Amino acid sequence: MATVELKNIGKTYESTRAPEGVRAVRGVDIAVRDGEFVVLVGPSGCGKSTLLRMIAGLESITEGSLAIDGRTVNDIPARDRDIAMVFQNYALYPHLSVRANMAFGLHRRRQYPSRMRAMVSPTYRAARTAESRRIDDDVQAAAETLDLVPLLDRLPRELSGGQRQRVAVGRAIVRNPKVFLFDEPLSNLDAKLRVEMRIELRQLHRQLKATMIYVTHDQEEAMGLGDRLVVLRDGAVQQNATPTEVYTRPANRFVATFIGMPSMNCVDGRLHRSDAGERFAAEDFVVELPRGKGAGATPGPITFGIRPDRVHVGAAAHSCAWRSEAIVEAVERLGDRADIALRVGAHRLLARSLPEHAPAEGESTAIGFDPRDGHLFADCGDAARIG
Amino acid sequence: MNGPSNTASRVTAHVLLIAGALLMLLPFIWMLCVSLLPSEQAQAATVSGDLKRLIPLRPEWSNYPDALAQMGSRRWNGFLDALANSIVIATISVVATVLSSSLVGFAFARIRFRGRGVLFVIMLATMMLPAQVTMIPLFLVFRKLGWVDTILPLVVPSFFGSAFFIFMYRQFIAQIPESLIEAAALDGHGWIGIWWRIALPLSRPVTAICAVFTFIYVWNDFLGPLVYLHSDEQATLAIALNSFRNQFGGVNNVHLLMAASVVTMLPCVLIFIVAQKQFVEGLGRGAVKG
Repeated sequence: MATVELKNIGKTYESTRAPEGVRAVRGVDIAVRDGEFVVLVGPSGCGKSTLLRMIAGLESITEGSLAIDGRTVNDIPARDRDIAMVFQNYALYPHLSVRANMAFGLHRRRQYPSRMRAMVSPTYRAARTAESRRIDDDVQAAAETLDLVPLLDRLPRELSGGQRQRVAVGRAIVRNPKVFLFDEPLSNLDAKLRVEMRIELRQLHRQLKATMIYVTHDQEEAMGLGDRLVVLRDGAVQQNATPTEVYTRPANRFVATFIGMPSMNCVDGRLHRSDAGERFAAEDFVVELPRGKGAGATPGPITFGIRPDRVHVGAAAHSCAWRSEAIVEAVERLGDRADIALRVGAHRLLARSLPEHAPAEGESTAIGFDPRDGHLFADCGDAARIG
Repeated sequence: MNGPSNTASRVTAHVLLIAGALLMLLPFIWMLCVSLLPSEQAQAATVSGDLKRLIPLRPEWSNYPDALAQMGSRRWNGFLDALANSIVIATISVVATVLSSSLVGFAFARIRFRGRGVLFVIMLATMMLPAQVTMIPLFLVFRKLGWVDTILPLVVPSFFGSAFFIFMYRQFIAQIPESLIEAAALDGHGWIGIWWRIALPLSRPVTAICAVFTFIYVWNDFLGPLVYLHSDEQATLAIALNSFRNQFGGVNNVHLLMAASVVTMLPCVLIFIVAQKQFVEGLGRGAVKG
């Protein structure tokens, strides 16, 4: 396996409408450790797939340097980077069987005599036969890992979506590359199959101890799979941290609202500081902040955020440091949980509770949270986290 | 929905189509029938135009060996030489056209290079040139090379692609998902490997069209062999058939002429029948989509 280092990577596309070009990726610095599972996540158009394709060698790098296992590969073609990629649409060769699909890359990379040479010399013929057998063994081993043995002689059109994806993964595994790249491989699958494949991918990662870089727009998928998340927006890295840190200490308002479902409640207001302490104040919404929460900020416009799973309703709200009354606007009962939309003065807040504790729509209920669970973001620039 | 009006329209459509097909097939049927008639009956049917006399009640299968034996200057060898020459020229031309046209079409479809658009337009523009315009300059070139009275002028140009088929391959290969090409690149293949192992196998419908059209054109080509092949041993079936017509033309031997024509035409029909499924699929799947 290998390390991957991206230093100030950028990609600019030429455009007739913009003389300076269109910057799809800018100033990306990421270091992927050996055996790490890193997920690139962000909304559509944020540059995550472009970044992955630059790592693969399918897009040129306009600025910066990319190193795989310490070797700069900016100008190395894709076929020589020893990378395997699993595509969103599987990219299985439709005219080849599953076995041939998985062996395709091996035949190209192994050194053995050509058919012509094998025809004229018994020695070459024996070498070719031995290497072909080794390739078959490798394909068989990878197929057993992914439970593909019964499917080896089928064509891709005879497989289901999940089976095709496993073949695509198997084709990558059998090559034993330095780095695995995944470009939204589960997005074409139904929700149930996505969850199953996610578990299989985690198991595979544990088994192979492989360096994997995974692209997705699904933040739940990103949180479930990655050892580390790299959140991207408009071609730039917003945060590069573990899933827990991204969730509990988002670097800015964008990360806070992108990661987490439902997204974080954000209220725009002002930070007031006095001898008594710090206070966040918006219309009908005042929160006495814990000491030091807003230490990095100057009094003025600011955003207060609180995750829905930290907002309590009903009896659970009575013991909270911050309490108020709210009108229940809507309740979504999702089986194991209920997402509740509440109106507090001029603001809508989302809360999460157990279905049996969810209030009825239209009624008034208590709402509360611990201010220590709140987040503060600047009201300008990148809306960076303050506290 | 099934109903009386739908049945009526389906029946009408079938009647019209069958009538059209019979009209198209009429010359072939006439040729086949005359080739199986005895000499006197064939002459009478040809002169009178009476369709009833066309029906071979007792088919004269001996017309075929009689005709083929008299093709060319040497008994039987004339026909066999012509057949062999035609097969060699057609086979080389088909293989060369398919390989060269698919390779160039793949490059236009998948490889980004400076001037690609301009080159593509220039390539298409060559389709506008009539063959008569380039006939004399080409002959002068081949004569200078010493290739006259060899098959080289007839097969070598096939190795440089055909504008029409390059265009068809380009359109078809452009529809192959980019991810397949990228996957092959990541698997270690260069452009030639991707063309040979991915693009060409997936272009089977276009290859069928290219092969069938090229074969039919080359097999029936009369002008090219007439200009470049001068000796009897080099003659193709088209030339041999023309010589046969000159030698045994007229009403008296029309049955033999038709028999020789049927034999000459047969490979084209068989090739089309064999490749028919791929042929229709290629036309329907956008092989010629603009």
